Amino acid sequence: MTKETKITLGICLASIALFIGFIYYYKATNPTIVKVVDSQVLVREDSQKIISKTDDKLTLVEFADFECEACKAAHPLVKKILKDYDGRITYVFRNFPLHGNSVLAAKTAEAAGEQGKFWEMYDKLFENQLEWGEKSTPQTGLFSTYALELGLDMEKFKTSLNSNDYADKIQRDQKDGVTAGVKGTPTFFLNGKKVNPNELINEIEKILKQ
Amino acid sequence: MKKFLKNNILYVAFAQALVAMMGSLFFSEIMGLPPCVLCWYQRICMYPLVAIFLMGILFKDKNVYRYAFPLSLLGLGIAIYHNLLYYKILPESIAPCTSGVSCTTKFFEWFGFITIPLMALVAFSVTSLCLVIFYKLNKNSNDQRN
Repeated sequence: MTKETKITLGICLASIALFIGFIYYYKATNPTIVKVVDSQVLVREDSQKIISKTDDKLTLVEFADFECEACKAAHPLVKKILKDYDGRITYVFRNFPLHGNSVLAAKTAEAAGEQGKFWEMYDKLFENQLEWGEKSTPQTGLFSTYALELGLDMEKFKTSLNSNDYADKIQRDQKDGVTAGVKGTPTFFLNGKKVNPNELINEIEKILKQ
Repeated sequence: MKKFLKNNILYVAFAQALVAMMGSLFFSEIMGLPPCVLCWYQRICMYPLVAIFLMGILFKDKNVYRYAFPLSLLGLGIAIYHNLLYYKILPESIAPCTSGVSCTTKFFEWFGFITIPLMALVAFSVTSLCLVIFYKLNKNSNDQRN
């Protein structure tokens, strides 16, 4: 074995040892991988929700960002679930803002919610995301147009938006998301368990068959 | 000192590339942090460097800098750009992140300042600096051969 081979082998082994050491350290310091997240963390009293009319067999919580493209892509799936399981599922929307206009969009939806139009604004924000997403300037004007289109009382809407009332709520949503193990958006929890969006319908069917 | 550097600088570059590769895999596969678009571009530059440095060392190839420099400098450029975005020196709107994870998402900060983009910048700076030193120290022997 040449000197070069010995040294490079040594470096490789040291790196692998370091890698394994980090894995053990990480696992030791993060021991609790919560399988079922506490419902207190997932659903707050003032969270925006569509409540099941029959029983509490199914609760779907989504942590999402109105500006996230993956959330926009998942939006039709959520709509389909809400339509197909209408009245049999409780759907809860939690904010997890990650982009430039995400917080403003979340505030816009909450402000619309104050006038009973949260879900209409929720649809509008996702459906028109291409129009306002990934912009470096605040999209207040465009959001006001959406509010106008939804027939909101504009004085009331602007007051709610400027009052910063919802900043704490949005921040708390995000904190709850981190506690629940949310690392990206959208993240879905079905009855407290994190579920891949592609498996949502299968999982719902499984629970309904039980 | 010169002789020591001449004989060992490639090992430093190799170790740095290897640690950077394993570190990035640790963040994505163990910690579950999804890489953003710019992180992927930097991975494309860093991972081949491990193999290039390894072969350069094992075959005592004095021309190894010719293959490694383009990747290392390209990676360095992307890392600088990523850091400018991350620390909001450049506006995010011109970032090529249109889906998935944003390039400015702050996952964690060790000791209040060590972030993933900063680590990538340091890694590419080290490999590039090692290559510059390697080139300078081997310049004469290369010139003679050419």
